[in-house]
Amino acid sequence: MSGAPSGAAAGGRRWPWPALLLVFLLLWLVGYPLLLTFLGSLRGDGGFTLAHWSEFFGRRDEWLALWRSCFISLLSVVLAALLGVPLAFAFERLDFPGRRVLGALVALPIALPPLVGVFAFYFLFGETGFLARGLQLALGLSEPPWRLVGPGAILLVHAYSMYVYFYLFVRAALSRLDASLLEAAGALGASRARTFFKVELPQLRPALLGASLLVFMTSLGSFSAPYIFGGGYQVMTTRILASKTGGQLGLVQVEAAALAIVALAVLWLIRRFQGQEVALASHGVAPARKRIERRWVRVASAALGYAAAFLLLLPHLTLILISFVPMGTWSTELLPPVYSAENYHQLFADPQRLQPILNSLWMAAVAAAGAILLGFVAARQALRRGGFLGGLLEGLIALPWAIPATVFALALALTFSTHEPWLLRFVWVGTPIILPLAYLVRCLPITGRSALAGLRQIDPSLEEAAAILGASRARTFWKVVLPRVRPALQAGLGLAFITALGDYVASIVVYTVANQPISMEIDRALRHADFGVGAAYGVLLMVLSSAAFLLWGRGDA
Amino acid sequence: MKAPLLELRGLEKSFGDVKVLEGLSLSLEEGEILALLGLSGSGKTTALRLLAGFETPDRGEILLEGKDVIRLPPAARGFGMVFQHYALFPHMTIHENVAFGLEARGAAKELIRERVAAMLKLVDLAALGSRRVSEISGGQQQRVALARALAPSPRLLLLDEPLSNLDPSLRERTREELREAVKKVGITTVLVTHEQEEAFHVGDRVAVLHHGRLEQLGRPLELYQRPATRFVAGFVGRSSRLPGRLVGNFGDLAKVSIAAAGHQIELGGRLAEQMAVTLEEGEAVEVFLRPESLELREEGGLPGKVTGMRFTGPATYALVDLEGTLRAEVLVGPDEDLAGREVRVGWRQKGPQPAIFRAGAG
Repeated sequence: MSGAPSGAAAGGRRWPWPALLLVFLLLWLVGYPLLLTFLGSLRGDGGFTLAHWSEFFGRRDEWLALWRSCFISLLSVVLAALLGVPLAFAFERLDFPGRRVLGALVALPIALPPLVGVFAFYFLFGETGFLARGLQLALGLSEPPWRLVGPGAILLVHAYSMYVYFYLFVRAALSRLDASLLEAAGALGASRARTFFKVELPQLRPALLGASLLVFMTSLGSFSAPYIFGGGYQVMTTRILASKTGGQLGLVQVEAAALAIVALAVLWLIRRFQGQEVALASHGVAPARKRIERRWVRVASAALGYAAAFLLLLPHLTLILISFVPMGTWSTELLPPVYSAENYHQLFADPQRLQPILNSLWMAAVAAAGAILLGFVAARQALRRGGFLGGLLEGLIALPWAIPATVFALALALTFSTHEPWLLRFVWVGTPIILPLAYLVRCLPITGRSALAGLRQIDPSLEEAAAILGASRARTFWKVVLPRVRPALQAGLGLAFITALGDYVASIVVYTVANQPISMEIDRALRHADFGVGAAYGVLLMVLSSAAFLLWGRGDA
Repeated sequence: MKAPLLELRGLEKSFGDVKVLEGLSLSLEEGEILALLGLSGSGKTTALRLLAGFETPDRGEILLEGKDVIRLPPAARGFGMVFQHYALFPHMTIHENVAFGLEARGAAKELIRERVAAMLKLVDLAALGSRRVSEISGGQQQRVALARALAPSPRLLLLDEPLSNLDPSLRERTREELREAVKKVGITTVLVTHEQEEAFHVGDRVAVLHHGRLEQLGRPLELYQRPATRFVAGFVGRSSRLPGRLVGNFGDLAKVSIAAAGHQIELGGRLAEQMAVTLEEGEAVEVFLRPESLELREEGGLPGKVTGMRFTGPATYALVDLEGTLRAEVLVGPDEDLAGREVRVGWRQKGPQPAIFRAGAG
C-alpha cells in the first residue's frame, strides 16, 4: 500500500460550495448566538463597557455560584466513577446468573429524562418521600427526618443519573481489551496488581477520561437537579435563570459567558491531557469471564446484583406508583391508599392536558429530524473536505455539546428577539419556531457524532467499488453509503428524539404558552402539588423515551 | 505489431513532498496480463489507483485505445476492479453484488439475470447467489469480487493484491483459477502484487517497480535470467551477491574473478546493459549468482563452511559462509544434509548466467 487515501472523488478541486454553505449555516445557528452573547456582556447603554464584568467580579455570590458549579461537577465525576466502574468490572469480568438482563437494566437511567428523574427522586428520597415517611412513622417523629435539599441532594441525583456513562464506557473498553496483553504481563512475571496498574489501567484511560469529561460537562450544565433540589444553594445554571427572570440582562450575559468559558477551558484541558488516543494494535480476544464456582457465592452475588438493579429501578417504580394516585387522596400514610387511572384519563381526555404531549411530540420529531439531516450532511462534508474546512465543520457540530444548555438557550433567546434582518436576526422568541430550533441545536452534537461514527466505519473502497462499477454519485449514496450508515443514523435519531422530548433546560428559558412542552407541565405539577398528573406525564415521557431507545437508540452497527 | 490497448506515458504522482511515481511508462496489448511487482511503497498501488481514476496524476497520460482517460471519473472509464479486501457490499446478497454494475449502467433485467448467472458460473459459485457476503468463505468472496468486476464486461481489469487475504494453502489454487478465468474471458488485466510467485504465475509480463520507478519490464524468465538492475537481480529469485574484479569485457559478456580467503575463481557472466560500455578491466564489480549456478566440489573453488540447510521439498540449498561476511547459497542434491561441513564453492557453467554490475553504484 502506498500513498495517502484522498477520497473517492478525483478532480474535486472546485470551489467547495456545499461545505461553505454549511459552515455559514452552522456559524449562524451555533457560533453567532454565542458571539452575540459575549459581545452583549461588553455593552451598556452608552456602547462598550466593562461595567457588567466588573459587577460580576465584584460580587461574592457570583463567584460562589461558579465555584459551586465546578465543585459539584468534580464530585459528580468522583461519585459516578465510584458507582459505575466497579459495576462495569463486575458485569464484564464475572459470570453469575442473570448477568445479561441485569447488565442491560443497570444502563436504564440513561433513558430517564433529567427532570423525570428528579421528580422520582423527590418521592423516593424527598422529605415526603417513601423513605422519609417510613422512618417518620417507624420512629414516631413529628417532622420528616431530613429534607432533600442542597448540594447533597444534587450530588445524589447526579451520581444516580451519570454513573451510566462510566459503566457503559468502561464496559465497552473492557470488552475490547486484549486478553493476551494480560497474559503476556503475567508471563513476564508481573504480579496481578502490577498488571492492573501498568497494563490494564493505561488501556482503560481513554474510556475513563471520556466518561469523566462527559460527566463533568453534563454536571456543569445540569439544571433540573439544582433548580428543584438546590434550595438556597445556587450554581451558575440556576443563577443565570434567576438573573434572567430578574431582568438583569447585562449580568446574565456575563454569567453565561463565564460559564461557557469555564466549560471550554475544561474541555481543552482534558483534551490536552488525553492526547492522541492510543490505537490498539492487537486484535485479541477479551479475557474470559470468571465463572463464580462456589454455590453460595453464586447465589449471593446474583442476589446482590438483583438488589442493586432493584435499587436503580426504584425511581422508575416510584414514578409509576405515584402516577396512579388521584389528587388529594394521600396525606400521611406510608403508601398511598387510593389508586386509579384517573390521572392518565385526564391526560388524554382534557384537551389542555393533551396539548403539551402533542407539542412535545411534534417539536421533538421536527428537531430530531432536522438535527439528523443537518448533522449527517455536515459530517459527510467534513469527512470529504478534511483540512481546515472539515475541521471547522466538525468543531461547529460539536460545539453545542461543550456549552451548557442553559447558556445556549439563553444565547438563542437573546439573538432571536430583535428584528434586524440585515444582521440575520429575527423575532422568533414568543413564536413556535424558537423551541424546536433550540432543541435542534442541542441535538446537533448527538446526531453529528453518530453520523461521523457511521461514516467513518464505511470502508472507503466500497464507494470506490461502486464508482468503478459505473454507479453515479447519487446511486452510490443511496445504494451503498446510506444502507451502511443507517444503523448509526437511527441511533442518533433516537437519542436526539429522547433528548428533545425530555428537555427542560432550553424549555424553561424560551418556552411560550402556545407550545408548552411536557417538561413545563411537570414543572407546573410540582409547584401546584398536582403530583399524580405530573407523575403520569413522567411515566409517559419514560415510556416514549424507552420506546425510542429500544426502537432506534441502540444501533446495531 | 498491434497498437497497444493501454498505454501509460510518463505518469508522475506525489503526495505532499513524497514522490510516489516518477515517470512511469509502459503499454499493454489486448488480452495481456501485466503484473506490477514491488515492495510496499514502490508506487504500484498508486499506479493502479491512477488507472482506476481514484487519483489524478500530476503529470503524464493514460491512453486507452489512443484516447486519454485522465479526465474521466472512475464511473465513466468502464474498467473493472478487484479490491484488496474485496469491498463487497455487505448489505447485499452475492447476486445483488454481481448485478450492481449492470444495474448502474441501466441494463435490462433479463440481461442482468443472464449475465450474473454466467459470471457466477465462471467462478463456480452458481449455487450461492442468494447468500449474503458474511455467509461465504474468504476464497468465495474473492471469486465473487472477480465475478462482480467482470459482469459489466469492462475494457480493462484491475486486480489489487487479489490473493493477499487468503491462506497460503488456498492462495496457490486460487491463483491458478484466477488466471484461468481471466484468460477464458480474454480481458486485458493489470495485477498489483508484492508476491513474486503470484506475479510470475499470473502475469504474462511483469513490471518491477522500486521507489516509484520502473526497474524492468519483461517476461518472468527474462527477469530471472537477465535482470536489468541490481535491484531486480537481488529482488527477483534468490542469489548470492559476491564482490569481484572485471578481467575481460566483451560487450555483453564479461569475465570476472572472485576472491575469498586467498583463493579465487574466474567465471563468465552477463554485463547489465547500461554497464557494458563504460566498465573497464580491473574495475570492482558485484556479481549475482543463482543457487543453481553454483556447486560444491572437492577441490578448487572458494573455501567455506556450511552453516545451514534450506529444504523446500523439490530442492535443497546449502548456505555457505565464505570469508568474512560473504555468504553463498548453493543448490545441492535433494537429500543431502551438509550442515557444519567444510566445503568448496565453484561456478557451474550450465546454470543461468551470473549478472554483473559495477560495484557500489546505485
